[in-house]
Amino acid sequence: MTYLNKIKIFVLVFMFILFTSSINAQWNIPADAKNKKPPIDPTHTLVKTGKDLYKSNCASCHGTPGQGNNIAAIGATDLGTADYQHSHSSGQTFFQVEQGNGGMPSFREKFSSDEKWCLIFYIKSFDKDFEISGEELKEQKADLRLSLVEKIRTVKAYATTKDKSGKEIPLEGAEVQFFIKRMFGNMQIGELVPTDNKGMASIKIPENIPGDEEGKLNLLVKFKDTDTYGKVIKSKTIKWGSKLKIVNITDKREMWGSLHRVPLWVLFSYFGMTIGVWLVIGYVVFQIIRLKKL
Amino acid sequence: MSEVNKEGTKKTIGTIVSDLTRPIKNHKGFTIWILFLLTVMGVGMMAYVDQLANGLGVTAMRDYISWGLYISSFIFFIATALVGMLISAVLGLIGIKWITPIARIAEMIALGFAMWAGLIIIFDMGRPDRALNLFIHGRLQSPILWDVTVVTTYIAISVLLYLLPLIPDMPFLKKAMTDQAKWKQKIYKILSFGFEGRPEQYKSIKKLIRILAILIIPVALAIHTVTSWLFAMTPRIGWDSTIFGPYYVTGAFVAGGAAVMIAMFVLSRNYNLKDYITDFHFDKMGKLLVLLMLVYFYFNINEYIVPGYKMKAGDDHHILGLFTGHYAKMFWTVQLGGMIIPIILLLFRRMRKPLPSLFIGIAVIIGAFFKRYIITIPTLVHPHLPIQNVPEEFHSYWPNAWEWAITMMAIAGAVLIITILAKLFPIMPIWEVAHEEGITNEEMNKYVKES
Repeated sequence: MTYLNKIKIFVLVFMFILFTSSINAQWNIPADAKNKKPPIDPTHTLVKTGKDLYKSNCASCHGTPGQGNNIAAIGATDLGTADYQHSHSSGQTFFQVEQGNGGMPSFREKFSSDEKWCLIFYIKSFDKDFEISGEELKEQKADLRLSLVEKIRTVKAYATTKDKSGKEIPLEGAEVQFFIKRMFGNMQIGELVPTDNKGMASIKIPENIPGDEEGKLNLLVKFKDTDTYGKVIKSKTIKWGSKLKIVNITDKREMWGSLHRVPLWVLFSYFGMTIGVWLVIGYVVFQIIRLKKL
Repeated sequence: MSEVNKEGTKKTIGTIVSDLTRPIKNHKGFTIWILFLLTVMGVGMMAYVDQLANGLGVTAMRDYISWGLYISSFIFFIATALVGMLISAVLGLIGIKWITPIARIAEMIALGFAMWAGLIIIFDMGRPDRALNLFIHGRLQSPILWDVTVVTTYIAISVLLYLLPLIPDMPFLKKAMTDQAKWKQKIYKILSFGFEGRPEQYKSIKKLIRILAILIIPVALAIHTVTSWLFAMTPRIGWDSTIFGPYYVTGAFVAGGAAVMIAMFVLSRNYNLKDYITDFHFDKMGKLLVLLMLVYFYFNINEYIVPGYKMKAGDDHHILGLFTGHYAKMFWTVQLGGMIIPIILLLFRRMRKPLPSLFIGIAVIIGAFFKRYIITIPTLVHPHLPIQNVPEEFHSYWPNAWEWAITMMAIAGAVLIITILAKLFPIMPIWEVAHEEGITNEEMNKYVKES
């Protein structure tokens, strides 16, 4: 498919979405769906689950609630506004998540009913009047320390936190992510690794990850749950990548090269012909001078 | 009596020497002609001084059309210079006799135009003081460096090919020109290189001429092929052609042939040498020119019909611009007036007489000059990326007064070199003409020795 065709299709799809979303701007929501109540009570833990789901499934169109970074052009609304909160009951939002409409896909199959309710709790948490029961999730400031085991190409991350007396203790059960920094983003290495009872999470760095000229890679390690443990990002330069060989096309003997990189056949033809012709010219001049002696 | 002069009576060496040296001594009108050439050159020099002081901005050339009249004149000069190789080398080597009286004329034209071709390149430089950088930093991969090399080599060989047949003439000149200025006699003495007509010396000269005649053929083909490569080695529309080498070479022979025809007429009339350059020579030269033009016509067909039939995107702009567009008038005038009509005319015996030959020669050479313009400029008007956001004057080109003046200086300069050579030395090799007349070396030596 040519580049132009791709653009054409993209524009068509985009216009279709615009069209369908505008004609379906009115949701047809049955009354009983509107009044549907959650079977579970919202807790801070559930809101947190909902937040994680929202981040990976909803934020790309709806943006961060209340921030206004939603894509309004395709009909996605900002779910954090007071306007939205007051006009939408929990049951109504639940129905919309389940049903989908126009540009909004249906999540009926994707999420379990509880997951859907977690999502609703998260969205509703932007309403001041929404009550969340249970213990508030506590922040637990943690830190990461990295150590490398060269022989087995393994990175060990030690997570620590502080107990009440301020003494540093290992943090168990925190999920740690490992990344290699690439040009346009970070490439995750392996899956999430939970820390063990020593607070350690380790991962083996695969071979043949392209590095720089010396094989250097930039390793980034962080907690998955930044809400709880804080945005701790530790980086380290490791030399376990494959060495990048930069082949400069002007380094070779080519027609486009510099004078010092002239192809040998050009060099020999040029000087061969030029010297050959001028030797003959020189011979003729020499013979003219010798004419007198003949 | 050979085929050279069918009507004339047998000439003695004395008449040949006096016939050929008389014009050198006769200065009637010479001063006026030199003054005229110097005036033309003076005007051009003024323009060039202004160009040096204020830069190439004084010309009509701008960012896109940066090869203008100078470069198209450069090709024309190189083209005209190529005739020396054709007449004295190719025809000489295959033993064609009628070229004897015109070979040196062709060589003079070659010298004059080749030398000024090199200078035109300097005129086209915005900073000629940096010309040396071409040699210091030039890349061997670049056709421009090849061009500089072959032009220099061709000039060197042309000088030698002019000089060598001149050496055996020097004893005659020393004898005949005793009444002339001292410095002239000194030149004749130096340029004789001690030649005294000994058989070994004749043998050596003939051998050397033969070596150079063979050597100049590949060099001359190289000079104009490389000149064409300055264009054809780029992927520009209208230049991106595989036949550009032979197309240029055949075109060059046409331009040079016409130049020789004009010079033959002017010199034979002015120097009163009708007995030496006869109707027979004009007839032969006319036939040669028509052959060259037919070959050139064949290459023209290929150069224009092949892309014109396909009309590839990009090519179509260029071809239609020439056939029916902005350049149509010049294109068809050049193709018809400078090639097709002269071909038809020269097919008739009556048109190969001296006077019609002169006019046909002039038409062909003017056509040849503007043909180079047609090759150079229209391509530059159509770059691969559209010309955008530039002043109006960048879009089109027509040479302005500065460029015409400087180009005229170059033409006058080339003619000046020919004039000076024709005033210092006989325009035909006395010894070869004498050989044609059946006069032996001994007779010539005897003539030189008797006082």
